Amino acid sequence: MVQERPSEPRVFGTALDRQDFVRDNMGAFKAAGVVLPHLPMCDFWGFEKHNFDAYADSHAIPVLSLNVDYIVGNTGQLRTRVQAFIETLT
Amino acid sequence: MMTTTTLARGLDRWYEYRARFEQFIDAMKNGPEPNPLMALFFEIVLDQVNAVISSTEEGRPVLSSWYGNGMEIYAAMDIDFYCPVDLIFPNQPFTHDVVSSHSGPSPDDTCGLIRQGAMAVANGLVPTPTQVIAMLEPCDAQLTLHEIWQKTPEWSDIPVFALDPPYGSSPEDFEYFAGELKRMTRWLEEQTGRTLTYENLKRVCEETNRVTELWGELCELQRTVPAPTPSFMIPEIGWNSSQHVNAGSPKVTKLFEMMVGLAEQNVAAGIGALPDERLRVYWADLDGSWPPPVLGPWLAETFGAVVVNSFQGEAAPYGIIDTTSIDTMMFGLARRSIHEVPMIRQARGSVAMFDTDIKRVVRDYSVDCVLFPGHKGHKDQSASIGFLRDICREAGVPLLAFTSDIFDPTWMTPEQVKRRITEFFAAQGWDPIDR
Repeated sequence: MVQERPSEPRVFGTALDRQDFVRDNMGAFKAAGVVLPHLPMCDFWGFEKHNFDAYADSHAIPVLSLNVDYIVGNTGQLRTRVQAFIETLT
Repeated sequence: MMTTTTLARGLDRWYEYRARFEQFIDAMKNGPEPNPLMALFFEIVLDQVNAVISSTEEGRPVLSSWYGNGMEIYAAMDIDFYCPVDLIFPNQPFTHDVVSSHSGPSPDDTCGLIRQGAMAVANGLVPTPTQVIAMLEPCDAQLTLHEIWQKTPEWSDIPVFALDPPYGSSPEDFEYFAGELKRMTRWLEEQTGRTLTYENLKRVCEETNRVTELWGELCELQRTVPAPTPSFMIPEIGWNSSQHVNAGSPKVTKLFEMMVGLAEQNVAAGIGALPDERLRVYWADLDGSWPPPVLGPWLAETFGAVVVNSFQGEAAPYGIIDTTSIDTMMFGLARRSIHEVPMIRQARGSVAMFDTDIKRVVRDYSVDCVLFPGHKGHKDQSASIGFLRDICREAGVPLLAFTSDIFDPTWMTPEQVKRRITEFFAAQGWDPIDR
């Protein structure tokens, strides 16, 4: 099962595998949208988001890019943003 | 052959560069204060711009590549290359590229170099290459940049060759990467129909070796107190002319000879680049786009401080390439690519290299302090701040480590950086010059 999961971003040329993995999971779990948490100063995730945005556009996947922190905080703001995103899906 | 109605993507921006560099050269040659050194430097850059433009216009191979990919091989095969970020940075004062890079899909807290590289290709600011040679080191974002380029519609069908860098710096690692360079050469031969010959590679590597020797001399001279060349001059002129244009140009050798001559003259006369040098600073990273033109003059005028060198301008790591055979040259180019060139040298592999380099420069250049700009894309180096602090403590030199984006002056502004440096200097008892 682990071997079926796509590689992490440190392996060149694997972005599409991860994007397809997300899309496949959306289908399997009947998800209506994707929340992309973005940890500050993480270049990997920042540029993964860059690539995923284009993928999501081309596959009409609703995406919420959510800036989160390394510690638990701003939960009220995060909840409000997620609630607003869910409202756009329903 | 292209017609004017089918202007290749990206060329209009490069025509702008060409016109600008022609103006610079004219000013350096015919202005009130002629500067033959800078005139030659801009001639070298202009030669590169013209080479890429004409190859693109006439449908010849043009590579997108990087300084850590053994570009002597391209020159020996008579293939032009460019790095998509190279001309974006020196032209920042004349463009809105930094602002544009913030309006793209990359978050603002990501590395300014990678973000502007993605923007340059997405917005058509570089000619479309015929092949891409990916450099998958030293940082994580470098990989994702190439994936972003592959997703850019205009670049999605361009053949890509990715060199696989090892983590170590042993002879086995160099052998492995030499194998990668050989694979790249075979791939390029198939792609372009050009061939690599021993004679051509030898000619180019011999020119590189001449530059390496001169670069070493220049850095030795720069160790003199007072420093004979001004802040950032060696890294800016030296690195950009030797690793960001087609290799093997005798003009680059001539440029280094001029720099050595200038430095020798000053050392012999006991003259420093600053009339009254008070502080010697080492910049522990690449120079970036805005620090040389902004911080260099400010440090000189405000504190009488000279940035004696940086990782980008340091010649000590470089070895001579053995030109006995193609195999020995590939080995030398591999060693250069993964072990000698800046940023890759310090960021790939273990912290030992960082340790070695800082200890050496603190000793060799008689520096008063080390500035570590903490470029926000260089997570690898920022993770080494604790080691850097210990090294500087042992060496008895103060260290200022801060956070910035050396390729984007909007992240931590130059004024904020100046304030940090002023406070740091004040803490050492180094006051501004009393004018």
